[in-house]
Amino acid sequence: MVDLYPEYDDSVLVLNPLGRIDGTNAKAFEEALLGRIDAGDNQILMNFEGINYISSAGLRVLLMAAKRTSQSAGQLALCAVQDHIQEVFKFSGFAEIIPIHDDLPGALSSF
Amino acid sequence: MALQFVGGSVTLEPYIPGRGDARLASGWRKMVVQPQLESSLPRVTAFIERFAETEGFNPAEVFRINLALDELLTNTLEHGFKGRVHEADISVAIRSEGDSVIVRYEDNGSEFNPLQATEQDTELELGERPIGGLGLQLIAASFDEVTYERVDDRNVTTMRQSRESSEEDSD
Repeated sequence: MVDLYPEYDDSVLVLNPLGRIDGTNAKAFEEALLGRIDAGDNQILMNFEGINYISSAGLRVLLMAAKRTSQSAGQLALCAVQDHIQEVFKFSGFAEIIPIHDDLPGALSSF
Repeated sequence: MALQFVGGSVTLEPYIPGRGDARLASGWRKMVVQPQLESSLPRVTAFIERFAETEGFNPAEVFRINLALDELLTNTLEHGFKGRVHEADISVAIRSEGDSVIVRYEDNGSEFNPLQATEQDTELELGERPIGGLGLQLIAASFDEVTYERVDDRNVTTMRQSRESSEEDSD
């Protein structure tokens, strides 16, 4: 089970995952994240401050979640992404389709 | 070929290079990878981190190498051994060469060139993006040079990264 350490700022669900998102836990991450969306949350901010590793298995889950939230006129955004992770978002083109903010306060003000 | 076990990794001495490149004669650290992602991924990561520590790599360099090996291994285990995973023979080798680091990933799975994997259009809008298929593209984007060759029954992917250029990247 992946703990997403959920918090709410008004209607924005802030998730604070820790550690790694890779092929060994992507399924659990997917269930946890899509579970929140299925439960009605569609304004979601992923605080990536504590994520130090993500592979394409994790990117895939973020893409699914971004699609799912946009279908219900919501939004998925990221913030505080570590530099080496930021590179992955750039290479994959994700930086173009998922909003990535420098820090949490700036991200929250964009919702 | 003499095999020597050093702290859980296997050192091959001398290394038999795929294309007679004399510069690949020694200095490799190599590990055998079990065909099971949950147990192997942490072992590969630890193996790379041990090497990186002795060579003084920065975290961005370590991440790049681990990500590439993760993507290759995940792909091999998903597609390479349909029904014959017990025959899997997978290995990872790494060495420094001049100012570069070279990482070599080998498996005896079905023939697969990661450089010819279907290119995903990274310019597509959110709604049009297909789910998945990104992993192998990340490898090509992460290294200065990536080569693939089929040697007998083995897929051999070699990645090279200049230490200098990655130091610049991490600034």
